[in-house]
Amino acid sequence: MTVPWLSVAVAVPLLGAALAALLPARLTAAPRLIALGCAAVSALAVAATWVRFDGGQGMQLVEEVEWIPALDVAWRLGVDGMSLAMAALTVVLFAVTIAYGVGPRPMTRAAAALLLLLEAACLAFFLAQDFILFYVAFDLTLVAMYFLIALWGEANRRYAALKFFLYTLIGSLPVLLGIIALYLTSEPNTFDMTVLAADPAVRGAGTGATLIWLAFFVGFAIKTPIVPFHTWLPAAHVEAPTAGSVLLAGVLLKLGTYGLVRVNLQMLPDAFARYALPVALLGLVSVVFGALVALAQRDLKRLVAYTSINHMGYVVIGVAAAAAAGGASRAGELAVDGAVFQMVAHGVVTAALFFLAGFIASRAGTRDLDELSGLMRPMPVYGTLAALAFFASLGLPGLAQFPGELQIFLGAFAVWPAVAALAVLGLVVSAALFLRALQRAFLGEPAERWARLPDLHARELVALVPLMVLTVALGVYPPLVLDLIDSTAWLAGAGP
Amino acid sequence: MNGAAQGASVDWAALSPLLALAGGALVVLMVGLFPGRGVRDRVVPGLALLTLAVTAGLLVWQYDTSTDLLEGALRVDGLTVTLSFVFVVAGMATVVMTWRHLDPVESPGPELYTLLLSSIGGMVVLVAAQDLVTLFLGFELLSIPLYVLCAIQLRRRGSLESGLKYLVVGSVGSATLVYGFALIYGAAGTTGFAGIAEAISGDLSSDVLLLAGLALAIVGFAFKASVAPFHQWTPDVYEGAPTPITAFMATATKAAALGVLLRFLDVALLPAAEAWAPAVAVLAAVTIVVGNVGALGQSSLKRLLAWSGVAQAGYLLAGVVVGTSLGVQATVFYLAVYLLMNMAAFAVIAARERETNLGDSVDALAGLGTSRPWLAWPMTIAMLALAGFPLTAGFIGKFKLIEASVASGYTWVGLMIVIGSMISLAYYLKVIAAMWMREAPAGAAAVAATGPRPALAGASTEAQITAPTRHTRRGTGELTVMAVLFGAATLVVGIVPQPLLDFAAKAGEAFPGLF
Repeated sequence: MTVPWLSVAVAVPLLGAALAALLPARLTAAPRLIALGCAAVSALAVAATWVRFDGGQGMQLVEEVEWIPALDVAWRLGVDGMSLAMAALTVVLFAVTIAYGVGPRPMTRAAAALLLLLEAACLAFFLAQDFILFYVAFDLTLVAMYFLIALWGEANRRYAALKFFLYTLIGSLPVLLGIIALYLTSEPNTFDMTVLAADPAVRGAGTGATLIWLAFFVGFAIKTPIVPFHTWLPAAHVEAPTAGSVLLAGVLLKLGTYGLVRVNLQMLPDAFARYALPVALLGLVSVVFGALVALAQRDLKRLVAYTSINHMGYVVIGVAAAAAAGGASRAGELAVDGAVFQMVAHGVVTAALFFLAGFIASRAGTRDLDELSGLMRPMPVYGTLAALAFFASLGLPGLAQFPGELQIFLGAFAVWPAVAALAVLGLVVSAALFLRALQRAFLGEPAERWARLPDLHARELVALVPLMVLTVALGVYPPLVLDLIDSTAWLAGAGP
Repeated sequence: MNGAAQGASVDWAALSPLLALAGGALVVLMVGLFPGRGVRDRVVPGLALLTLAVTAGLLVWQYDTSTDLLEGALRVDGLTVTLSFVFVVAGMATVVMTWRHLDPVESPGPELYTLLLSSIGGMVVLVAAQDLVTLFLGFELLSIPLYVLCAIQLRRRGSLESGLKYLVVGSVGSATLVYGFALIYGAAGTTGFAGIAEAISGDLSSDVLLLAGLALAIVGFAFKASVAPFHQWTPDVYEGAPTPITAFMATATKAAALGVLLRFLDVALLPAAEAWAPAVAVLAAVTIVVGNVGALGQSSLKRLLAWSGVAQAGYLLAGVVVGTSLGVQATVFYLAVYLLMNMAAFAVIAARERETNLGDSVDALAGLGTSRPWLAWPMTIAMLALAGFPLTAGFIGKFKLIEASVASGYTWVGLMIVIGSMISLAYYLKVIAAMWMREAPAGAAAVAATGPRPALAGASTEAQITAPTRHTRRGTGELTVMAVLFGAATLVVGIVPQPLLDFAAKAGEAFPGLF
């Protein structure tokens, strides 16, 4: 009998969450141990899946158990390259975040339970091959993140948590409508995403297809977020605790772009092809707007939050270019591979950046780049790692974000040269803003009050170092993940 | 089963649940005449619960029955049985909530339980009715006890006002209904549903007499189901009535009103569906918008749930409009789920009314997450379920309703349900946020903490202390248990909905004319 590794990866954190919540309060060390143990098991399960993954096309290793027979809803998990890459990103980021912790120490039962619940929901989302499971996971991430922000966030956390919850939940309702519409148009009616992706039931770009496509797009655009649906993001990021920001930027934003690829691109290829240019333009606006607003920020966390909008804009451009070019073309393949690679790279790099912002805030009591100065002197390790992360985020060759962005530009250039050319402007601005931040806060003489700041301690290094290693590894040897992504049939249903 | 007998043969077995309710109502009334507090406080509620339990048992026994009774006046079939379960469970929950709820001074006595059981009997007659006359009988048997129940707190202005309002509005509704029935009878020449269906399947569907009757009858039902624009009484009556009675009205009465709409529209008037379906669809859409918008500014939980109940009536109407057995299944499923979610919420409200002096204000829930997690969790689940959040029963319920609408070409109604759900988040989340994000107000905390001694010694005047302690003398243990049970059920049905879906499908099978 083979072990259902995918179900293990999802179920173990879920059971761990229940266990952590029900523990007696006097076992103070237990929540953290349970969280670490479950995260480790989940990571091993994903690793085992990676080993068994044969690099072929389409969905593999599908595990299916009946759930609600009357609706043809099943516990249906499976992987293709994109799912596996996102699942791997998820388990890594959760492992380091749990190692670092959230809120007061030692980790409380609620914190352990919420982190594990969030991990289970994210994994279920990336692995789900059943639309109801997909939707349930999509919404469950909200609940867990809402409480993470609301319970351990900063001064204005309740407002930010509520805004986050409302925005994204309102975004998820059109997704539900779209799911029902896809279900009813498929023949025979099914929620099975493998079937819907392999042979899209909705063809053409008529009114019906457009509406369904739009319903999904709005939902995923809010999650990503694409300008003008982004206003929840800065508030949520700034008010969230460090662990919350890391997971929000590292994993939760990817839910949106993953959905764009999985549903809008794979299941509604014709409609997406028709509306590809407007989507690319929205992506372009996100790129330019995110970069320019980030340039004006003094708060390091806010700055990173806005660069996330900028970086997710590249992903959107990549997906749109793939939709326009079609799956068969080289440009389309390049663009979508680049987009998915960028999702992984951005997850790793931005997680590191939010950790860095959290570390300095916990020491200096401020993240204001104008107040901070000369940090390299008292904190050489911190400074070096921060410089590395900054360079990775601005897209320096040899670091994680370069390969993805390059592929996106190449793919998009073949379709819309002007869009690609303008998007490069975003790179210039983000280079400027990161270099300026580096110069202002890290170089030069430290002010008196910063001269004695302690450098990173062990727990912080445990969280940060694996991410920096991955940043370099992905940049130096992109095939590590690119082979995985490239091996799958992106646009199985998208014929010429 | 008993068809071979001569004359007015009666299938006693199928009729037994109704008989049990009627008999129980009389027994409760008689036993209540015995003196002594023990009888009043324990025996009478116990007997009421026993009656409901027996009725439930008989319903289980008659689960697969599908037969006409009393010369075609009533029909016991899937719809009757499934909805009767809903009424009985709502009744049990109400008995539990009333047990220690009303102030001893007001002494509701046995009549409360007699009225409750009669009202449930009326609901069963109503959804089983196969004839305009029996339907009206059931309608009044359901309504009249409720008017009294609303006003049962004799010394509280709000309760009396609520009862009077309900009486006036309800009577107008009944009058409208009976006028409509008269016109329908005039057009069809018969009062039996089957006869009406047969008569109007000819060219009668454009008959002015029929259409006018139809419109008046729908308005009459709309009053009872609080469908906009006939809903204005709902917030006032819900707010004024004693909380257990509000809970009963919100769940059981709503189920009865929607159940009879299903029966009446999808059986008797199905051939004229072209005439009524678009109109009812518009009513549904208006109700969804009005209910959700009305709920936005509410700070009283009972008013909030009243407005949300209006909105939910709109969602439920969607299942009636489509006229398919999928729609019937969706409606019945949602009614059952609606009972679970609302009872969990009302149990928490009733508990907080006893524990604090803030009544049913949202403020009474502030800080509940830390002070009373066993109340806060059921309330959270109930609110999420009412908003249709996944993994709760409300999600599956809304999902089925949307599916039924879209599958029958009423996509825009499905869209309205989604939009309504979006708006509804604002007020349901407000309740959740109050529980988890706010600190308990000083006054309420003092009351909750008041044991034998005042929490803020010296700071409080005598009046402030005595008023709350009178409340706190009554415990909330059974309400907590009830809230947890209904909350857990909401969650379980959300995760494993199949059994309840099968149960609701039974109601769908009761309509052979639908596909």
